[in-house]
Amino acid sequence: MDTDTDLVFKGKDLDLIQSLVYDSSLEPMYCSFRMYLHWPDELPSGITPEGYETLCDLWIARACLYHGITLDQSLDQAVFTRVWDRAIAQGLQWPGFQRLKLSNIDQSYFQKMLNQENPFD
Amino acid sequence: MPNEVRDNSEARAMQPAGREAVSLMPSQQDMTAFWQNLKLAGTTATREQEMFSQGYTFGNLESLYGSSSQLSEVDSRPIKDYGWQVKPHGQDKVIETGVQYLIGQPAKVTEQGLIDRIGALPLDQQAQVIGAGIKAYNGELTHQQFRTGVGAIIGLGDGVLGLAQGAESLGKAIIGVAQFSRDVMENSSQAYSTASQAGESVGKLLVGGVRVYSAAESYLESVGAATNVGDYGKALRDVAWLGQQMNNRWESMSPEEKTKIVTKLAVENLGAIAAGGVIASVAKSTTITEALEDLGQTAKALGAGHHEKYGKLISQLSDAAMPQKGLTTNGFDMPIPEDAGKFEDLAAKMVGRSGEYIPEHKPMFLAPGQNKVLNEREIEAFGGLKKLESMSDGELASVGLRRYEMPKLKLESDEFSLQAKVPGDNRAWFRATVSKDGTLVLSDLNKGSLPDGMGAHLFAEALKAHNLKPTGQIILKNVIEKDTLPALAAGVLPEQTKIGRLVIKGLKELGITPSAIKLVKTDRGFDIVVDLR
Repeated sequence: MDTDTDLVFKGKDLDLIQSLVYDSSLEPMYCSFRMYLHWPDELPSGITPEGYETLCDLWIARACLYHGITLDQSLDQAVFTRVWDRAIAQGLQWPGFQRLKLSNIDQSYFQKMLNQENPFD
Repeated sequence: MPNEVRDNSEARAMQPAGREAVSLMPSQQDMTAFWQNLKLAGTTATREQEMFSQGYTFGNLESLYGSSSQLSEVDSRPIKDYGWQVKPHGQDKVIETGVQYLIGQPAKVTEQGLIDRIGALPLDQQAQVIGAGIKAYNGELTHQQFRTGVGAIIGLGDGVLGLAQGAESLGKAIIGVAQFSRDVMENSSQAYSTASQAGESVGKLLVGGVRVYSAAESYLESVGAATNVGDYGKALRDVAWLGQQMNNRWESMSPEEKTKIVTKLAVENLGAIAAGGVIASVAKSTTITEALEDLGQTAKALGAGHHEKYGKLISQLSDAAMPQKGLTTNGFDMPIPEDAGKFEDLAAKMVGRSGEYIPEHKPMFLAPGQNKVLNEREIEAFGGLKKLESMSDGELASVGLRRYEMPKLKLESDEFSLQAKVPGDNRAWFRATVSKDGTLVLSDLNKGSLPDGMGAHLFAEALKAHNLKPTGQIILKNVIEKDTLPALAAGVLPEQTKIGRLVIKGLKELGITPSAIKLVKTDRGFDIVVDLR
């Protein structure tokens, strides 16, 4: 990590992210706007809107890299995976890195959510 | 000379108030003994008249100084002290002494001083004052009758209280609480505007030591809560009811939520150091009304210099615990007590609500054999909403329908975000942030296990629960959903996409019609911008 600008999380957001504790018993939640799974222990209370957007990038990247999601052709997947790579390079301690492979139950739930006729209402 | 004479307690007792008055308060017995021992000429009543040109008697002097509390600011008229001197009186020697109010100086009782006096009374007398205030609010007492009644209860008398600058404010403070209690009970939209007045009034009364809720409870217990026995039974039940609602709401909050609320407000109002003890005691309390009353006692003990900040803290904690919109399940539109319509204020503070919220009643019906609520078109097909509402459960079952109620929501908030969840359904949630310019950014919305068709209702109820009344823009940021992007690319209007329809449907429930919906392409998807201006 050469410069401060390479850090995906800084300051209080970084402290909040690093304070999260992985809990294997939790169930995933589906984000209908962005088609990813996320878990309650991956989102700290009090994170800034900018920090939340970065977390969204990580969730989308994980969905693409590990959970089998393909983005619309109008989108550049690298926008998200670059953030993922930078987070890894930063040495970020984030519970989300421990959920690269989905359990059968979680995979089934993810598919069900993706196949909904109307995931919003 | 006897020590008690040399002590000249009477003269010191009449010094301007606020200086160690507690130890200087003579009892009636002390003063009677004082006069008799000195064998003063004439009757004690005559002597009193000479000394107190305002016409006080021992009776009301005892009442005036009989309490054990500090009487700061009760009466600040200048007093001339004549000192004392020994004079011959027949075969005896007597001491001539005295104090007198300076002529032309009217009695001045400040608002807080008056409230302090009431706070020093026993609970049953506090209840009488509060009850009288509520009766004045109800129009059962005129202002003059209220002043006379309160003057009699607290022992100042109508003459003095009539000059008290705080008398009207006292009435307003009590009425502020009473008005809100009544407005909430009657589901009046007025509660919208009386809520902040109620919180402010509670703070003012409590830092004066007036135990508003305990006094009401105590009075009701003494006369029988289930009856209208007693002059103020009905009036005080209103206040007791409000206290119970606040306690119920407080009890429904998790320890973390309580700690978060108390910590924030205590630090903001008292500073980090002084906040420590308050956070520990209030956050751990199960009965918020008692905790607030205890805070009031603390403020009173600390002195007038602490009243304002403690009063503000109590007011804000009261606001946090006061009944919320949707409290009832009887279909009434329960008013929202705090921050009503102040979207920009909320944006500036970035603080939402925490605790439990019972959504507003809305008639909904589950479709036959499906986990789906009927939409408007389907309701019409069953004969319309009025017909369905009038049908019994059995009649509905005969056509395959069931009533459905939106479950309660659990609200959370932090420095930046507002959330709503459905207890027992970990996957149902709403999350939004409010930017400094008042723009609502909807981060995520998932109906979880709620029936199909409930997403928009969850969106609307979450906004209502957090008292969000967006007036600027709502932004759905970086949408990449698989059906939405191709639809938008194919020229489908944003409002015709599934996500666009959800937002419009939810806003319609709030009575809001967007003026425009536009798309903003970003490197992370589309921002759907709903303009409400």
